[in-house]
Amino acid sequence: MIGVGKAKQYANVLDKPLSRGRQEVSLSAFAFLFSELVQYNQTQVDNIAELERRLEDAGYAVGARVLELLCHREKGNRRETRLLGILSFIHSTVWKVLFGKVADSLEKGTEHEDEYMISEKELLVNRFISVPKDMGAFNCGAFVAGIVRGVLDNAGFPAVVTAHFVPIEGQQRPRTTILIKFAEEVLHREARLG
Amino acid sequence: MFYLITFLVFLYVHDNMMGFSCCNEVQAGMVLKYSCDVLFLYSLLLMECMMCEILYLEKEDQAYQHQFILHAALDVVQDLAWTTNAMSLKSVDRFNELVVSVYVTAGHTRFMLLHDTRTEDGIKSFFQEVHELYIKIFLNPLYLPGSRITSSHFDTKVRALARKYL
Repeated sequence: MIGVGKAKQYANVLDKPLSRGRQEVSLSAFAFLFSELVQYNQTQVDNIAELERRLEDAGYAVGARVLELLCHREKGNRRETRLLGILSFIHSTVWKVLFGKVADSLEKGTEHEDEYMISEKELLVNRFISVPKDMGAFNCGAFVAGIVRGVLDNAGFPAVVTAHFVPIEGQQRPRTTILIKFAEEVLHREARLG
Repeated sequence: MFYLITFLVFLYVHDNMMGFSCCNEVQAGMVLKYSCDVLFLYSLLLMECMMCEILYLEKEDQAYQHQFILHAALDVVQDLAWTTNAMSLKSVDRFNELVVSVYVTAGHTRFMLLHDTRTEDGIKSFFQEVHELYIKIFLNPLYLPGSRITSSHFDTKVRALARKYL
């Protein structure tokens, strides 16, 4: 019989419930989609910096939506007003939902007060990507940096976020670090809030 | 006794202390009036974008004053939003007998409600339901954050919620 066992169809997206649904998406599907995203952007730009910027902008849109959705679903409608709060939110909740595990580490920069780093042995988005030698320091993790920037910006913590490869002795593949540099107003506000 | 609700949704784009009245750049402020059951449509201001405004009002002449009261309460909300973790900020400002209640989302989008004295519970549930609707709109990848919400279905649902809770 046709239609038996089909999930209930909603006329409008606004009527659909916001429940979790299926948590997992096929990794290969994502890898293909991401590779197509990168290739498409490569045809549109002339240099690496522009390509990184485009990937970041794509990630920014994702970050904005992830922030709203996760605060509603996971945190029971509580916002983050403190710096450490939002950083641990990103490091654990956001990473868990997007990549299936919490990030490897969250560190505070030693040289500057306003720098923080989220490190990951191998970013999920970079797993099937090999960067040719002539592209130098290009990192597709710029997409993830964009996601982080989207979350921070919309939560009221403007920051500059970049992704870097950090070579580690004894390991073939370098570690990836997401470097977060907060704007001054964030530090002023943190100091004011005590 | 007239039944009044004015309802505004703001997207908080930049953290600055400029009040609404002294924004130095206003992009094409348009006001379109449809009928006495009013939906005002505003396009973007530079620093803050109003996405949706719904008015239930019997007397139109009060409409501008109510909008003004709501916009004037924005500054208070900016400061208050950083003092607490909660999303529902309850009543934030008063003007004569009118009270402004505010609900701030994680992305610093503000839902503001202007009303005369009502029960607090109804308003909180109203805001929570509208928040869910807003998230569904926001999740649309083709929706530009901060732009006007044009879905008529959204409009119908918000009005139904208003009738139910307020």
